Amino acid sequence: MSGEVTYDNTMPSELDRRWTLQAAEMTAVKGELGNASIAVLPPSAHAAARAFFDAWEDIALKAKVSSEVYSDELRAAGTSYENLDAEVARRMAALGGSS
Amino acid sequence: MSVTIMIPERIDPVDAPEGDRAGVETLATTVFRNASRFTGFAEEASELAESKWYWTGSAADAYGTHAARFATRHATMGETLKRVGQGIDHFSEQLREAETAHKDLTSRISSFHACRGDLRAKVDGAGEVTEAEIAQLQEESRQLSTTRDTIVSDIARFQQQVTANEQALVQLFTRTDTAGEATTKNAGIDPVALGAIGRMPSSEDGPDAMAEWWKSLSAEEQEALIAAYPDRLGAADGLPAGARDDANRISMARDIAVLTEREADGTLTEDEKQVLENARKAQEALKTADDYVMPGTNDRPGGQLWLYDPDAFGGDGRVAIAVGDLDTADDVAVSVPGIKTEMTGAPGGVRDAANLYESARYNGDGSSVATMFWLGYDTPDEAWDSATLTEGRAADGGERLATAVEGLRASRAGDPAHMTAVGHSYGSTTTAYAATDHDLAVDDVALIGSPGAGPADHASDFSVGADHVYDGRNSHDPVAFLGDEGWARKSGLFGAGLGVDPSSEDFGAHRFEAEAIDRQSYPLTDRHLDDHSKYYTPDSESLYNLGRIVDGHGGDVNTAEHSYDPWYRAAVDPEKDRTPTSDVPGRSDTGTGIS
Repeated sequence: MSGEVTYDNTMPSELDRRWTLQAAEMTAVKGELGNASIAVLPPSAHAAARAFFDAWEDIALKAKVSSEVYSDELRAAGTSYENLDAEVARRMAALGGSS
Repeated sequence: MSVTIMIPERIDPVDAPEGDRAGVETLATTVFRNASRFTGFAEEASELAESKWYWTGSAADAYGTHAARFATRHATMGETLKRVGQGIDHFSEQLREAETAHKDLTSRISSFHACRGDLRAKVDGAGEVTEAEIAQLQEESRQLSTTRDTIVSDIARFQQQVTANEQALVQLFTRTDTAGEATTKNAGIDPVALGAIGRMPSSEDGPDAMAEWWKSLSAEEQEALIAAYPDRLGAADGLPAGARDDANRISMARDIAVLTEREADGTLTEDEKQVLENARKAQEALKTADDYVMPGTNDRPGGQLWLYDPDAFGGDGRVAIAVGDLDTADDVAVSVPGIKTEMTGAPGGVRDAANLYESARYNGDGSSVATMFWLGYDTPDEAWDSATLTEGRAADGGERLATAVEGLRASRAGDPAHMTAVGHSYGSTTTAYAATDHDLAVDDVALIGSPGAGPADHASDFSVGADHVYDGRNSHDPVAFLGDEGWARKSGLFGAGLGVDPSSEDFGAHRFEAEAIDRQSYPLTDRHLDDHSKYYTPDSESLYNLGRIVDGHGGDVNTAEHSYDPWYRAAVDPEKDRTPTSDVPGRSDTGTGIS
């Protein structure tokens, strides 16, 4: 565990933006691998090639979804930090009396 | 008395190998492109895992650890996908070779059937025949049967190879078609290759050891290694040129596909930009060699990418491309370029090599020829580069040249070619270093436009012996006048220089005619820098004589009077007063050439 806790409120938007681009990149990969023409190969290799490209299409899809999950989680983390900050502020304000 | 003359059976047509080669190449490019995307994805994920400038604490640590693992896994996937691309690209090369073999077999079958038809006609038309005529028909029958057996045997071998290629492709896909396999170290590498690479000698063991290792491998192991380790095999001195060519073509296709993808998405670094430019120039040069057909003939010798190293020497790159088959040619020439030649100059170097090929064949004795543009050393960048004024690059290049030639020799042990090293400009100094200090294993050496013979004071210092050293100097070439001549040695005067002028009478080489067709001069001088670059010009004296040397007939060059340096005046070049010839048979007719 780190010795200190710091938080920059630009984190969620910046990391979200970049992970979203990552997801888009994997969407492109998925599309290209899914559309790869295996008809150019000898028929004896068609089945293996189809299985291969299907598998990699799936791998790209999972990478895309994982990127989106990172985006979601980091946005949620930002919200949590801000909520916590607001909650603590509210409780501090609710202490009442004079300091 | 009846006599039976056996007519051998017909041979069934052979099925062509299946697959669309251009389409397979495109498929390999698609895989390379997406391998690059995976790699870029992993690099970005790795950066995103490092987010300490945004936040710290347990949450940040947990995220960072998770994302870093994610990045590593996808980096491995990128490597796996790249290897699959290499395997597909290798299959396209195998398909190309199989198509050529199929075409050859089909032609031989057709020829066999024509001969068979002739024999049948002779037998059917035979009436009363003498014993001698019977013996003749029986002999023809026997020869035809032998031809048939050979063709049938070659068909079987061809079909086995096609099947093996396709099976290797299937295994390539099946070894990498799960996420678990994709993230495994060495995924996509044929286990056969993994076993064989462990026995590969190091370059320090020498090219003979490399050649022996390669010979000890099965065809299956060799093919698997080329697909899996193209970078290591492409530069391995001692391997056959054909194997190096296959490996280097894979590396080049991969680099172009991967870096073009990065170029498109704007993530290309400055270094990568240079590598991509080098790779594209190598591709352009190789296409020139591949497509070259000797004018007026059906002679299409083909190209070989013998060396491909686009990020060597700080981005200058290393490359060697041959016109012709280095593994089988009777005569092999290695052309060594000079200052300012970088990998981007490969297309011009290959055009020169093609012109040299044509000259050697056009005026040749019928022997097969291969001519290679070899840029395997770090040339000085400019004429005024401090590296040009000294011999450090030439000394280093000489050692590299000698090693390269040793590799060519080792790959053809038992079948030695007649070999010639042709050094141009600073490359002549480099060649001189190889021949003087590193026992350059060629038969003949030709220096053209030489600024000096490096460490050699006399042609007899060369490994080939004085009688096999040739020099061509155009009297209007200013660079060729940089060498020391006569009593006043520039090196002694200025502490710098590239050695003795090899065209001088003191040096003792055979000087051959090399005057440029259209000699030029700057005002107030007899020389022009453009005249330094005309030694490979078609229908020139220089190219004619180089062709004779490469063809193994150096004794037939048209000699020129040596330059000399009387003590009472500046050096004299008698060639200056002679009118150059062009397209004169036996003197400067070299065919048509390409420009």
